[in-house]
Order: sequence, then structure tokens, then C-alpha cells
Amino acid sequence: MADVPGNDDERAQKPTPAPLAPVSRPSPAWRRIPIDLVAFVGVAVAVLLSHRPFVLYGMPFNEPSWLFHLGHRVAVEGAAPYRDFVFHGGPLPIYVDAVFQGLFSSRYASSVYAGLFVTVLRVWVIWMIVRRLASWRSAIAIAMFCAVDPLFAFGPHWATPYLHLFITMSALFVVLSTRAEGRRALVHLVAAGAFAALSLAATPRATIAIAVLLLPATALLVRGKQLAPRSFAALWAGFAGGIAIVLAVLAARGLLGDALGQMFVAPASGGVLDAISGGALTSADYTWWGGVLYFLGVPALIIAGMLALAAREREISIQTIGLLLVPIAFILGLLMRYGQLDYFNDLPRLFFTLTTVMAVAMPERLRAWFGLEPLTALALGALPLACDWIAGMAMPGRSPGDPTALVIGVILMMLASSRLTAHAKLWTCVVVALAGLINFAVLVQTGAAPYAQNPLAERPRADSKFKANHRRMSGIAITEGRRDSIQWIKDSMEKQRSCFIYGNLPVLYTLLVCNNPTRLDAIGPGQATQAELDAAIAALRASPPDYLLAHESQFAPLVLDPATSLRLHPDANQQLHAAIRALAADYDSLGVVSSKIAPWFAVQAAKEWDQLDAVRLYRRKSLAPP
Amino acid sequence: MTSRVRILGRSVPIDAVALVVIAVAIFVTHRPLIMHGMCWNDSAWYFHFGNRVLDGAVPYRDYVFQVGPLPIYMDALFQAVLGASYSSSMYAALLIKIVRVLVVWMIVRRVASPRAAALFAAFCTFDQMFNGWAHHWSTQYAQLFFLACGLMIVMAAEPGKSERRVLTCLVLAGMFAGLIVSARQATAITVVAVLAAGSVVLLARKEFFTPRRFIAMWAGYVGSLVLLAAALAAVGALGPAIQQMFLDAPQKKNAGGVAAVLDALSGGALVLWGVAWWKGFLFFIGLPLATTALALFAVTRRGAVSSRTVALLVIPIAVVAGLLGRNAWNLYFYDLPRTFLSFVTACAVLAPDRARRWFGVEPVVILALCGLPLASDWALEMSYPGRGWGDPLSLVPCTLMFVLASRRLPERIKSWLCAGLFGLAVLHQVVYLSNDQNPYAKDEASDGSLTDNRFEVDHPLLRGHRLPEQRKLVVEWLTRSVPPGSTCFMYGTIPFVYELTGCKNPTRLDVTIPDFITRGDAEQALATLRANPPDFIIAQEGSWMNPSLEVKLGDTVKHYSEINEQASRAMHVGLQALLPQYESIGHSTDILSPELARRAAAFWDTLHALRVYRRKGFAN
Repeated sequence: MADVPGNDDERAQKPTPAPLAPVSRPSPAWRRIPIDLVAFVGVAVAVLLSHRPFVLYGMPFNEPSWLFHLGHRVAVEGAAPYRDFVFHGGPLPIYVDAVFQGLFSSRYASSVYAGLFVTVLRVWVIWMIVRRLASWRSAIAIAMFCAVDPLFAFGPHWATPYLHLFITMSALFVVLSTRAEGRRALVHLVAAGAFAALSLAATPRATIAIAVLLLPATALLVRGKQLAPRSFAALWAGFAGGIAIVLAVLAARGLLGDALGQMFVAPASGGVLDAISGGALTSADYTWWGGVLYFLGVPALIIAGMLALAAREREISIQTIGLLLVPIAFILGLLMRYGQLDYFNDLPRLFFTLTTVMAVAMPERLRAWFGLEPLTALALGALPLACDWIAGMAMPGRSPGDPTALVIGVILMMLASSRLTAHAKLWTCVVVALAGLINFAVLVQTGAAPYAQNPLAERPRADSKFKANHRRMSGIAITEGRRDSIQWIKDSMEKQRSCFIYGNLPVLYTLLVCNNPTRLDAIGPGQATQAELDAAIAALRASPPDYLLAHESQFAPLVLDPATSLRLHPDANQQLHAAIRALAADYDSLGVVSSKIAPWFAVQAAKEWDQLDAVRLYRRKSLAPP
Repeated sequence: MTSRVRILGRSVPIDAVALVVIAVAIFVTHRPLIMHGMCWNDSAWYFHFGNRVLDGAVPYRDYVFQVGPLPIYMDALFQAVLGASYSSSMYAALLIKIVRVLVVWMIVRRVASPRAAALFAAFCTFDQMFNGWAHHWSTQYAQLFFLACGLMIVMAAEPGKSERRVLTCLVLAGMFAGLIVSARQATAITVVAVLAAGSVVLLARKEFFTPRRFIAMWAGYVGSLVLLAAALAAVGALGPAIQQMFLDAPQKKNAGGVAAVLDALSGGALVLWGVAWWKGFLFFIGLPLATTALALFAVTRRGAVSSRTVALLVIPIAVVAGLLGRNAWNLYFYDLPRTFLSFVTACAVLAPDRARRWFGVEPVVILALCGLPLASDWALEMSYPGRGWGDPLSLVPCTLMFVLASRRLPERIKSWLCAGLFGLAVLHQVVYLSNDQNPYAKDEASDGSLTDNRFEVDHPLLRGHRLPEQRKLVVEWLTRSVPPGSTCFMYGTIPFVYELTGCKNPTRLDVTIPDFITRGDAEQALATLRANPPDFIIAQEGSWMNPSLEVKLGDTVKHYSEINEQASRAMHVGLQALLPQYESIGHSTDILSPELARRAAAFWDTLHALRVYRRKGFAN
């Protein structure tokens, strides 16, 4: 390895010895306590301190509160996923939420704490990986970034962080296996496989993508003598074991049949081309070649430049790099007049596609060019790639994909390279940490919710200072508009009645204490198959609910002619919309939220993610007013 | 260095060959495209003012003007030679572009190599980053003159030159710097400030400048100023020119004091209205500052790094840039080069030895290639308080020329860099032409696609030019509505309508946008209008900083304009007071279909919002 020869700083020129012996004791006083355990406490404290003052502001009623609602159904109502309500994800996040609601009472804050718990675990795993790939100093820097940056540590309890947790655990064990020998290495590979498979408990379709990507890749590594057959067997035995554990737990609860019928079904899917191109090939706004050029042109040129540099090792004067920095920025700017550069999505996706192909087809070049072992490259690059594919497929056309997995994958892969000095790794980690801290400081300074899943669509913290008059929302500060909205809906309905929410606001079932006659709690794109929607329509016709809540900004208002108005709402399902519209003839409209709260609050609510202002409440005509 | 080539057995200066090649290349590639579209505001100003000169008017004396007179006279010359049509104005712009590209070629050939120079000149010929726009405009003259000044300094700094030739180059450098006044006086002021400060410090440090060289350069500068003043005095315009170009400028632009300096230095980031200075600084300057710091840190290091290490860091660096870019803006062509050139210029003046060692460029060459475009950017930044427009068309090419001038870069890398830039210029052409767009027009002045611009209009001023349907209809409507020989006043920024309709303006104001006039100019014009109400008022209702005459804005001065609100208010209120004597005889939307009005609204001169008032009792 020829790395940084001739540099002034001799220390900086020493190549990283591979493998690095981990520093497992920070000081003699802590001799008996593993540093990872100390780190766990440190991470937990840091995450709690940096999140607690912010995460209890705001409560969107759409995606961020899904798991709270579903966990509530499990913990309080005794319902079971798949059997009692339709769910197309893995069951683990629901049960974790239910456990937290059992521990901290059934309120939204418990769900937030569950999310925090998963964040602590994820940051801790990242710490463990970075400590082994670089140094404990680098690990602190990256852990700091992960703890405070919403790209990694967004607030609400959600399924994707579980997927990230499992793939990083899998990567951790792959890294450990490369530093161990014999039986110990095999045990690590078994654990790596098992953790990859445990993603089934959170995001089942990602498990399929992981298997589809990694099984042939590792098989080719065996064929190319880059991976021992025993190692291959250990990895996939672990994977099979992980799958078996999840399926066994589901079977033990009598949910296996229903779960298998729902977990692997993607109600909306963009297909393989959509996934591997990040929607560039299938974007509705471009021809396929236009999409490729616009979205992938600039990232492809950057990757090509990177390959040109890597293909032939030569010395580049640091002064030359300094002089070329600004012209390169100009060239980038000139290119971006005609193309888009998505730093967190297209660029890392293309990079990981390349490293995955190289790991399988040109492992020697991968080693020589990037200082990466093929199996490590697969663990740190192919696993995030699989996550991104699945996230991309969930929304046909251009979608954000999984930037969290991709970005953290890029950082870890850079740290895994034997080409970079420890010094360079540390500096890169420090810069990444600074980027996270700057972002955190800016969001705090501007009064935004720094860990909101969608900070721009949620109100500033200063607006969220009101307590809701609802025990499920205790401890959460919300906007006055939201408080008044929920109060009006609650006051207009009798408790323990049946209701159906035509929209993506399932937590309203929990907050309004009304029973859904169907098995569909959330209505939105990609949340139900046509068969499930047909079953819901039949249930609604058989047992018309006492109340109907229609989200008029998500779907067209029921009073409008669907032939014209639905064109503006491509997410709406024609049959369901027609059925609800027919049903609404037997209902009286009690009003829309925006007309029941102060006009200014309605304006504010319309800017929020869940647009609560657009909910219209209907009551069945035969039902007496409360 | 090769300075001559053999053609047909004869030794010919390579720069002369380059001139011919550049002229032919630009003419052949631009001619078929630039005669499409014509926005009537800024892009047709010099045609209008040149046309007035042809009619015997003198700028400043007979009409109020904002900047230097040379482009007006040049336009008048082209109209005199090629005929009074807008095409002549476009040819004048083409000539200036040819000369600018030639100067760029000459600089790069001297600091890098003929190959790099050819590729870089091709980039400048075909990319908007140097072109900016195809129409005739004063900024191009300022850019030409300070580039020529830079070229002369580069030539003076060439090793092995006799002292006499050095002095000649410096005299010419000073003369070109002085000539900037003839185009844009604000740029002239900032350029002279940078040049004076730089040359004085370098003289004191005994870097390149000797007392004789210093005197030679400034003698040249004074010489061109004297020449210009004499020319203005000869036509009786010297006093009004000084008044309008220098004394009135602070009021017209709301510029002055420390705020103007901070505005210029920071690209408006420090004086952004409604934003704390530190927020503006971090948001706009944060990333450019970090990039510049990294670049400067690298150039101070010795040693080398493996290309594979660099390759490995490409994606993480991009990701970090993306992470930082969430909270800050990196304007590749504004804040980044301005910040970078500021530091490089400061380094050249304050620490010339280090500048030489770090960048591999002579300090005086840095002053020429970095300080002068920086000064031009400052001048343009000051012309609009806060985040306005800078001079990316100078900042970017000059930064690139500075890099090409470095001895630290191998010739191979310089050629590759220029080849990459040429590739981008080709991409620009492909993208624009495949989208049926004019690759040379300023986007907002393009007047639509090339196909949209297919209508010929039977009007001598528009001979040889193709226009979109909406403009053709408006031309026909205006010439129908306003009879030639009548008097009229245009409220807005489209003085071309005076030539188009043949009506006479009774005032000295041809343009009413408030950064063009003072309150006094407005009041003087209104007094004339009150004394002799024109037969017609042509009002642009969608013109920037000239609020529609239909709207009542009350007493709050701020509502009238972003800058020079007093002038805008005076004009608006004064004209509104005249309106009872007039009746509206039509609006451009009367003759434009909704689709054509929508198209017109997308372009600079907002033809979709044009109203014609006729004086009550006016008989045709």
C-alpha cells in the first residue's frame, strides 16, 4: 500500500495496520468494564439528553403515530397484527411499542421512548463498528453524528430503524469475523447471517432483497475462492436460523398464516428497474434516458472520475489537489445546470452498486483500488443497497430511498478501507460529526423540531406549547390548532361507537375510542391490496359505522364528482372512494375541522404533514346526536 | 513559447490566426441563432440609445443615462454601417464577444499552453458561463477592458521581456483600466481601488513594480481618462456625464457607506434585509469559506498522496458536502469564487512570497487575474443592496485562468481541465439545442424557443430578426395605436417603443426604472409632462420597480420600489395625477390569447401587461 508518501506529517503517512487491534480498555480504572459497555451508557445518556427536550413536541397523526396506535391495539385491546388488522410490515416494532406502552402507560410518549431506545441501540452498534474499523476517537465522532443528526436519529418510532439496527449488527459481525479465525470467525458469521435475517421481524421485503442480493454474491465469492465454503455455510445457516426464529414466534402466536399472507406483499411496487435506478428509469416526468441523464448523469461522472483515480496508482501533489478544488467545484456546478446530484441517494447508491459488483466480479481490484475485503464490502455496501432498493420500490418513480442506510454505509466503508490512515479516518469522522452538530445547532436555533421525520412539515417548537386534553397524549406538547381539532372531533362523537377513517390517520381510532368495523386502519397508497380493500368495502356495507371521518386533502372531498376530482388525487382507490361516497349518502356532515377551529390555526394546520384541518366528520343519520 | 505559426509557408503570429479562427467560429455558430427573439427592456437599450445618437442626440445631455457612453456610440456606429435595425446591435455584441474570447486566448496561451488556450477559448465561445447573453450590453465592455488590462500585466510579467516592452505593456494596462470608465463607472472605481492598493503595496514590497513601472501604468490610466473626458467635453456632455454617472449613482442604487462595502465584499450576505448578519454570513459564505480553507490548507502542504486514497475520499467528501449543504448554500459561481479570489488576492498583496510558493503564480499576475474580476464583482454587487447580482461571468473564467497560470499544475492536467470545460460547453449546446432553445441568449431574454421565434415583422428596425407570435401581435397593435410623429411617454423599461412607433418623448427620461433615474430627474420629467402632456402614455404594468399605474400605493414610500423608492414614488404619483386627462385605448391582453399572454409573461419585458393611454381629445 502506497499511502501519502512524502507528507510532512510522518504520523499521518503510516498506513493503518490491518486488522487493528481494538483498544478495549480506556484506562486502568475501567479495566474490568468493557469499553463497549461504557459506550452504551454514554450513548444512552447522550441520546436521552440531546433528544428528550425536543421529541415530546408535536404529534402528527399520520405515519409517526402508526406504531403507537398499532401497539395500543396489541397492548390494550389485545388485538394481534395480521389477524385483527392488516399490516404489511414485520411485527417486532408493534410489539416493542406495546411493551413500552405496558411499561410507561399507553400514551404517545411511550412510543417516542421506544423510538429513542432503538436509536440508542443503533448508535451503539455504529460505535462498535467504527471502534473496530478505525479508533475509539473516530467512533466517538461518528456516534456523536448519529446521535444528533436527524438523517440517522429521527424521532418517531418507526420500522426502518429496526432494519438499520439489524443490518448494522450483521455488518458488525462480518467485521468481527474478518478479525477472528477458525471457529470464532464462523460463529461471527452465523450471527451476521442471523441478524440479517432478523430484519424479517421489521421489514420483511428487505429480507428478501438482502437474500436475493447476498446469496448469489457470496456464492460467487466461494466460487472465486474469496470465501471459504464453511464460511458461506455458516453465514447462510445463521440466516436460515434467524428466519426460523421469527417464523416460529409468529407460529407460536397463531399468526403465521395471516402474517405470511401479508408480510411479503407489497401493495404498491415500483419494480426492479425502479429500485436499482432510484426511480430515474421510471420517473413519470422524464423519458427513461432523460431520467437516467438527469438523475444519474452527474453521480455517474463522479464515480467515473473516482474510478479513473483508483485504476492506476500514482502520486498526486497535495498542492495540485488544493489548486484543483475550486475548478472541480465549478465543473460540478456547471454539470448541475443540467443534472441533479443527490448526495444522499443516487451518488451512494451508484457507489454501492459498483462496490458490490466489484466485490463479486473483481475482488482483487476492489482490494487493490479501495483497500476493501470483498465480504466487508458486501456487508457495508450491499446491505444498505438492499434497504435502499426496498424503500425505493415502495413508492413507484422517484422516491427518497433509504439515505440513512446509504450515508452511514458510505462512512463505514471509508473507515473499513486499509488505504486510509488512522489520522485521515479520524479527520473525516470529525468533519462528519461537525456537519451533524452544525445541523443540530441550526435546527435548534431556528426553533424547528430537530428530530422530526419531516421537520419542514411540522410546526416549530414554539408553536407546540399546548397540552391536549387527552390521556393518550399526556406529556406531549402540541399546537393549539391540533388541540382544538381533536377536542372538536371528540366532543362531536360518542365514545365506544364504530367509526371509519377514510385517510391515513389511524391514531384517531385510539384517540377517539371508536371501533373500526374493517381490518384496515390506515388508508393510503401502498397500505392495502385490492383484496383487502374489497374486504373492507364489504365490511363497511355490512356494518355501516356510526361515524365517518374523511380526509379531504388526502383524497377528494366526497361531495365532489369523483370522475373529475379524483384525477387530482392519484393515491385514491377508485372502488373504495366510490363505496365511501355511496355510504356517505346515509350520513350527515357535522363539519370540517378547518371550520371548527380558529382560522389562523386552520392555516397552520394546513401546512402540517397530516393536514388535520381537512378532516370532515360525518354521523350516520339514524344515530342520535351525543 | 510558440508565438508564430507557419501557414502556407509564411510565418504568421499565432494570435492573429487565433483572431481569425475565433471570429469565424463565433460568427458561423452564433449568426443563425442570435437573430431569434428580442426583449425590449435591458437587452434592447443600447439599440435604442444608439439609435438616438444616430438621430443627433447626445447621451447625458439630451437624455438621462446610467453608465458609460462607449457601448452607445459603438451601437450607433454599427447602426450607421449596417443599417438601423436591431440586428446591427447584435452584431456589435458579437464583435465584443470575439475580442473578449481573443483576449482570453491570449492570456491562457501565455500562462499555460496553446492547446489549453484553444480548449479554454472554445469553452468561452460556447458556454453561457462566459457568454452570459448575446445582446449588446455594457458589462461585456467592462469585462473586455479589465481582461485586456490583465493580459497586459501578464505580458509585462513574462520573463525575459525588455524593460521598454514591460513599460509599454504597463502603459497599455493602465489605459485599458481607465477605459472601463467608458462602459461601467462603478466597475472602474472598484478596479482602480484594487489596482491602486495592489500596485502600491507591491511597489513598497519591491515586488515587480519599480517606480518607473508604477508611473507608466498610472500614466496610461490617466491618459485614457483624459481622452474620455475630452471626448465627452467635445460633445458638450462632460458635466452631465459626471453628474449622472458619478454624483447621482448613490441615490439611484441606494448604495453608500460601510453597508455598500460590506455588501460588495460579502456578496450581500452581511447586509441581507431581515436576516441577522451572522446568519447571512454562515448561510451564504459558510460552505465557500470551508472549501476555500481546505484549498488553501492543501496548497500550503508539500508532499503527495496516492490517487487511490483520493478516489476513496471522493464519495465521503460529497456526502459531507451534502450534509453541510442542508444548512448552507453553495453558489458555485458567486460566493465560492468570490471568497476564493478574495483570499488569493489578499495573499498575493500581503504575502507575495507565500503566494508565489503556494500557488505557483507571480503576485502581480494574481492581482491581474484575481483582483480585477473580484473588483468587477464588487461593483455589480453594490448595484443592488443585499443579495443582488455579482459577476460570475468574470469570477469563474478568471479563477480558472488563475489556476491555469499556476506552475504547480502539470501541462497535462491543465489541458485535461480545459478539455473538461470544453466538454461542458458542448453539453450546454446539446442540451439547449435539443430543447429548441437559444444557447447564447440570456434565458429570460430568449423570448421563447427557436421555433417560437419564427415570425418576421414588416418593420425596418426588425429587419432580419425573427420574433414570437405574441411579440409580432404587440408590434402590430402598438404601431396601429400610436401614430408616428405624435408625442408619447413610456412608463417602464422598454424605450424601444419610441423607435417602434416613431413617437417623440418630450422629456429627457427614456427609461423610468428607479435605479436609472433620480428623484430630481423624475420631477423634472413630470414638470415637462404637465406642461406638455404627451398624446400617449405607454405603461408597462408588470415592470420591476415601476408599480402599475392602476394601483394606489398610498404614502408608504417603501411600497414603491426595492431601491430608490423616492424616484419611483415621484414618477408613479406624478403619472397617476396625469391619468385623468387620458383614456385607456387598449391592453396587450386584448390582442393576445391567454396562451400567448402566458408565454409573454415568462419573459423579461412582460409584454402581457402593456397598456396604452391616449390623451382625451387627441385627434389622429
